[in-house]
Amino acid sequence: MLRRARALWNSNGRSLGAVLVILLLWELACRLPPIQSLGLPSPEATANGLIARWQILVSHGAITGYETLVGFLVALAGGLSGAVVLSLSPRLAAALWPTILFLQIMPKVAIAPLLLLWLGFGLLPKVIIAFLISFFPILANAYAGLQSVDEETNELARSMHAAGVRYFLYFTLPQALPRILSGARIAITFAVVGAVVAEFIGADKGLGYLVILSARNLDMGLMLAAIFTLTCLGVGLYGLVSLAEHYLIPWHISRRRAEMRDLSETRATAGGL
Amino acid sequence: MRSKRVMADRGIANFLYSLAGVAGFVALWYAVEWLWHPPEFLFPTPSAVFQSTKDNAASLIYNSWITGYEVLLGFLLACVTGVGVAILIHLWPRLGKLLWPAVLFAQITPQIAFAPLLIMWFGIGLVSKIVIAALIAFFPILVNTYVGLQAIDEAAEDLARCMLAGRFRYLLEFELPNALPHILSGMKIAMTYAVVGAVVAEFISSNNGLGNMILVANGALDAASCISSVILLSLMGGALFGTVAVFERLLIPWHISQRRQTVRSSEAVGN
Repeated sequence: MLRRARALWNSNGRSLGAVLVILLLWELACRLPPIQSLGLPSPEATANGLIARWQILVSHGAITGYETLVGFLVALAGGLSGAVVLSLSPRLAAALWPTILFLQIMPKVAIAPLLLLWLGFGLLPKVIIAFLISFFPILANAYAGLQSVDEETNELARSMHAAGVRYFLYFTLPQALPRILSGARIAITFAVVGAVVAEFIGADKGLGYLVILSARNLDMGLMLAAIFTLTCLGVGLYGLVSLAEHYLIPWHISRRRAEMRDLSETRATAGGL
Repeated sequence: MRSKRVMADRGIANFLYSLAGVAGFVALWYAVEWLWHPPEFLFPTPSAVFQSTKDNAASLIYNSWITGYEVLLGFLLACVTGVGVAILIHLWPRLGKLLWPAVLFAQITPQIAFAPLLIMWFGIGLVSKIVIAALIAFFPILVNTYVGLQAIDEAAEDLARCMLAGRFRYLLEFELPNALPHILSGMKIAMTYAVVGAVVAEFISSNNGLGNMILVANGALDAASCISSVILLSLMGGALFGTVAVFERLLIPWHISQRRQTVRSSEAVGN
């Protein structure tokens, strides 16, 4: 435990130090009179905003977190079943793939205003945008994962007379899991963006609403506090998916560099926001 | 190896499939109209959307130009800074060690949340949109370029070190070409991000651009105009993405991803 903590410190401690130095310089710069007049928020003002209004931040954060999670979970279920259907029928996949590719690179957030027009200002349009934006990364990566069963495994499965559901559960799915989960990691960051952008456009609660509201009121402290909370939410949800990955595929030990390569490949398959 | 003829056939088949996809979509649309008869201002017919596109052609073109300009400049800015920073932290591993965890952290945060703040700082004009587009397009390029620069086969590295003298020559003639496939795939992603950045920035506050047009049409309960703007925006995003893809094909014809392109896209592995 101690050794792991030390290793973590060695890899990230310097970065943490650099961030602290930047914060200190920022705070000092904000105290200089010529910069003070610009109205830049200092770290101290942000921290004060965070402490003084933590109840508001938590209640709005819960709303955004709820929208993100529901959208993401529906996308996970939909994307996985879509990928299974596509991998079962190559013909269907060939027919649908150009459309899927186009939808992947199309800016999904652009239809947020239309959804608000159709469905009102409630939570549903936000959930739908979070769903739409995180659906394609999961679908495309799960499909790529399901396609990536290698020849030797296939032969092994055949020699063991595994077929149908058993073949899928014991051979295809475990091989596809790393890819599915890294797709899910990208998707959860997308889902947060989807929920927040939908809240930017029209909402009466949620962190995106809070950011816009404080921008209109020129309340820099609250705005940065809301952005900070949002960042924590995004990182926390990403951490949850990574944790799930840790427990579901402990055999897939990806080292740092491999992880980076994996990330860029996953994102290339995921397509755009 | 596949013959040219087979590849052409596949191309035609893909085209027909996408055409069928579009036809199916329009048919579905008409079916919804016919089944539920939704009010025209909420859910217009495809022909109403077509009519509205024709009527608003001039302003659609003008606003696409604005948005396209923001996206392109933001994308170029992200390319220059992203590749530049990646080269810098590659040449200077100490700096890389210091910055890399921060970069990895920054790219899982929702950068779009900073958009209202940036609009406050840079004003309501085009500059703020370009900066926001550049901000969210920056990370995919930075990460991919750095990964590409680091991902070098050791034997090839030894050979190149023998043949190429000088750090810069080595960088220019060996490391960068080697990283090019990664860089270009990062750029394709960055292009779609830049479109989203520009449009979201326009949603937050703007006087023109397709994002503004969507919001204005929405406010006027003119769903037909709203839908035609969304379609145009998607087409523009697709065209910009396609441009980068064409560049990719021209720049790295030797790379495996390009050689296998036709086979892969027909087998629907994607990208």
